[in-house]
Amino acid sequence: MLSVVLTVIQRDLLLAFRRRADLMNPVLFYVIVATLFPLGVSPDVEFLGRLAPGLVWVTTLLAALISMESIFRQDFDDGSIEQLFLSPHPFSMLVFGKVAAHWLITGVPMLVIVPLMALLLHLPVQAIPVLWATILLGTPILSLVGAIGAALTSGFRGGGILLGLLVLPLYVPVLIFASSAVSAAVDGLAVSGHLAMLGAGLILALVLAPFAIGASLKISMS
Amino acid sequence: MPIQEPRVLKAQDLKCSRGGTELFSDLGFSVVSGESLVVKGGNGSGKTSLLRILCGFNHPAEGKVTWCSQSIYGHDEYRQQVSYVGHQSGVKPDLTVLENLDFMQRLAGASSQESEIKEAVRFVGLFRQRNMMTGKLSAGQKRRLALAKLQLQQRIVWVLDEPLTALDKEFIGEFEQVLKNHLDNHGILVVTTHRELKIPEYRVKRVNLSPSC
Repeated sequence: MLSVVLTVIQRDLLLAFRRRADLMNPVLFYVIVATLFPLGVSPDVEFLGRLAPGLVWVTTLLAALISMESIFRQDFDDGSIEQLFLSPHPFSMLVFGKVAAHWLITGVPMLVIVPLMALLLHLPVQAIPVLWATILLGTPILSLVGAIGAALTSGFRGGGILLGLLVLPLYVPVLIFASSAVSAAVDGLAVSGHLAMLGAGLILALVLAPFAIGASLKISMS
Repeated sequence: MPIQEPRVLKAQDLKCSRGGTELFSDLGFSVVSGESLVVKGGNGSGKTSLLRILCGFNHPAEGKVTWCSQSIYGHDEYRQQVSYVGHQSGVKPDLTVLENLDFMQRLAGASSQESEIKEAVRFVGLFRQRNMMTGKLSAGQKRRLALAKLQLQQRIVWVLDEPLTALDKEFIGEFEQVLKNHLDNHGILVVTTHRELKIPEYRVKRVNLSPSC
């Protein structure tokens, strides 16, 4: 069971590696926002520092949403999804592998770049570990929940806008808990409650989302 | 791979509509192991839809499909017996020929030796291109690659949508032999084609989907 998940991950990582240019998109998006925002609004250190938690997280949300659209697109176009369906392994497990690979491709680069981005936006240094923790807990939720929407909208062209409408409301709790955790850290308050909520959300998504994604893909396939 | 008991793929009163128009209705047939079902019909007569229903991808508007008298929907055993080659064959353009087959095999739950995969690649005449990106192959070569999977997976029910498209004459001959062997080994074949396949007549059942005007 585990080996088939690893096989899917291996395949998708290899495919992503063969298209390295696409790999850079979310990271590039991140960096562009971080550099343009101070130029466009105000380079004032204190002002940016107060804005940074929300700004970083809104950017994360949008980067995740943009990357989500393509998660199943190729598999639909080249007929791989049908072949996965005919696999003896549970469909939800195969799909879980796809989401895991997607997170490794999009979420992990964010984890790497986010401390740098926080510094660029003058987020107080003591809040950076907390920001990092929220990204670590939050982005897998974004991938899992977003994949449900992507699975439902992959069947037809122009599903992108619909995907945003479907998924953004579900992203809001993640945004609220994550950015308030970082804000609390900036003010020197306790953050364990926010992080616990994010962790609980992650566990819930890990357990339930694969089934929802599998069922949605079956609907889209027909 | 000999199979002892005869297996039956049976369809009853199938009705299928696509985009609001009815493609076919009251369609029924049964195919037992060692037989092939050749589906004919004009463009847009519902051949691909019928094949996708038989694979379990789509549900018919009415009627049912059974495998050994059990409905094929949610029938995990049946799913593991079906090989499907459609217009899009699940071949990734950014993987090489060998990688494509290797991943296909592993995801299909079959553990093939590298030598077996190479043998299959050699059989379909892609050995020289084995480390080439699949996206660089010609249409016929991609089709050959998709068909190589059939031999590797050794499943019972082969559902093939226009398998001969873009293939050259020589390979069609070899491929017909593969199909014959599959039927001799008690396999089942469901195929749409515009060309006549050279399969012994007693092994062939025909379904004609007339285009609904």
